[in-house]
Amino acid sequence: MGIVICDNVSKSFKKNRAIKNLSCTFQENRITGLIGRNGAGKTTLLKTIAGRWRPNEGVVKVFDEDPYDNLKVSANMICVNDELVFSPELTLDEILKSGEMFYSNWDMEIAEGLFDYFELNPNLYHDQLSKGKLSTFNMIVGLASRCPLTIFDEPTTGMDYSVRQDFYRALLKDYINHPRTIILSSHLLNELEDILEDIVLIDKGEICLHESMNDLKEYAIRITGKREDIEPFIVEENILHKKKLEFNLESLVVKNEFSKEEIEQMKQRGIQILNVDAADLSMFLTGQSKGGIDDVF
Amino acid sequence: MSFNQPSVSSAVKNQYLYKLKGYSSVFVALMTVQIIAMFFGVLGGVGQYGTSNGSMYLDLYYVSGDLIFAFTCIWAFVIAFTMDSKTNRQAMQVFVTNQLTRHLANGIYLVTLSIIGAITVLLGGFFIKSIVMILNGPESTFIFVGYTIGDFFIGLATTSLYLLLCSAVGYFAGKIASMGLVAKLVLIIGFLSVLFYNGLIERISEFFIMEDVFSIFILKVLVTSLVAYVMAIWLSKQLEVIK
Repeated sequence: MGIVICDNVSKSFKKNRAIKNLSCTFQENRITGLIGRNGAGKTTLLKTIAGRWRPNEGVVKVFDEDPYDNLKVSANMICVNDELVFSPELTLDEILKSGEMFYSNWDMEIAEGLFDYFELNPNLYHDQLSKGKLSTFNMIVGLASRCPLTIFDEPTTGMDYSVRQDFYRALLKDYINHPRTIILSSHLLNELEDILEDIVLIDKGEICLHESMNDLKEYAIRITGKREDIEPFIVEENILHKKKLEFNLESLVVKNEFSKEEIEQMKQRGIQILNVDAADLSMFLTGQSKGGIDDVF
Repeated sequence: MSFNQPSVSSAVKNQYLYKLKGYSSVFVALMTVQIIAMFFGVLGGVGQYGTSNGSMYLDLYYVSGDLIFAFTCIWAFVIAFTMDSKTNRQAMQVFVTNQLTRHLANGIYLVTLSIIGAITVLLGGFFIKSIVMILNGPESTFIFVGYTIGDFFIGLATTSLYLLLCSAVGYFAGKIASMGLVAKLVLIIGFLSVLFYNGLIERISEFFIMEDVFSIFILKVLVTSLVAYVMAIWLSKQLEVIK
């Protein structure tokens, strides 16, 4: 069942169209990664889903209702990003207690456990926290609220590597204990590979791929071999990335639309076939088609 | 997973409690403002009246809580002005809320502040009168004794209503302030020119202050406050859709 359904959604800010005719469905009780580069439209999409903004065109449905200004959606959804604002006069401890008052599923045990583990001082105020601690605290609020729809927008900003690993693990454990729909936006796909079930790849305000993580791993392959050997097998549109190597060798990343026979034939010709890392693939799919940073210099 | 279907009343209640707990510095501001007002009140008195009759010279100072009241009105206006600012709005949006429940919670909160403000205004008035009496000695003090418990409650109701009016107008002004620069300027200039045109400002104050019938006064203040508050909500809705 689709918990979040976006149908042909567009959202512009003045002249900049942040998302364009975007359609996608987030399934119930799955962890979906929303992956894209800076400015791809991740935050805009998430804020529209969270009901902060109304789309200019198209329809967004969350729990089958329009999320904008909707009390039911607000009660069953939490959107954690680095812009979370709490009352400046409440200590962290008091903020957690407020969370308990508002969210009926609130899990104080988890909140306090994580609080101790990450060594947060309950008497501090929210604006006294460092960037990493702030993200850690927001993450705790997001997990403890245990909302049927939990959105994390770039939750790991400022966290160091080990805190990030702990966060992923905490998220996964809590998700297994209390399954819910989680949308996680990030540009660090390599770190998320193990916890994501689905992936939505977004680029320039459009969805460029929506697959399960398993399908993504088979979505493309890397072929390395002599140019004249490779050429007969390749359809030009399927090339995602091309790199010239020495000795007239070429390394291509192409969509995996080959039959078993074709793979066999390629292997016989001495063409090397490898899997493509999900993080690399997402980079190739969302990358600019022409050249790289080297061309600037 | 089952979904929660919160009622408007429970969401409003939670937000109201969150406001009371999370913004207690408004009371610190109230105390500061009133202490300053009392200081001026004790020091200067509010009014002075001098007369001489042959060999006798009479110099009369009278003391009242009017200055405390005036300062508290400004406090109510300013607090309400910032109540639905962007940061405060975001602080509400983290938790369970929509526009309706947020404005309702703000409204109830402002009513609470007005009543608390009114109580402190009246007590502050008594306080400075006592201080002045102690300072000058009872022989040089006239005390108006025709003051009953009923007067106290009428005073409380009147003061609360004035503070409510100030806060409702402040709430509306705060919404105007969050508009775009051009719209804001046009509105402020328009408002000021209407206000100073033909002594309108006097007529507005007369409209409230000169009303002798208490029930009509209540009606006037409540209706005006409600209009300001509803206009603020309407404006807020327009502003948020644009975003």
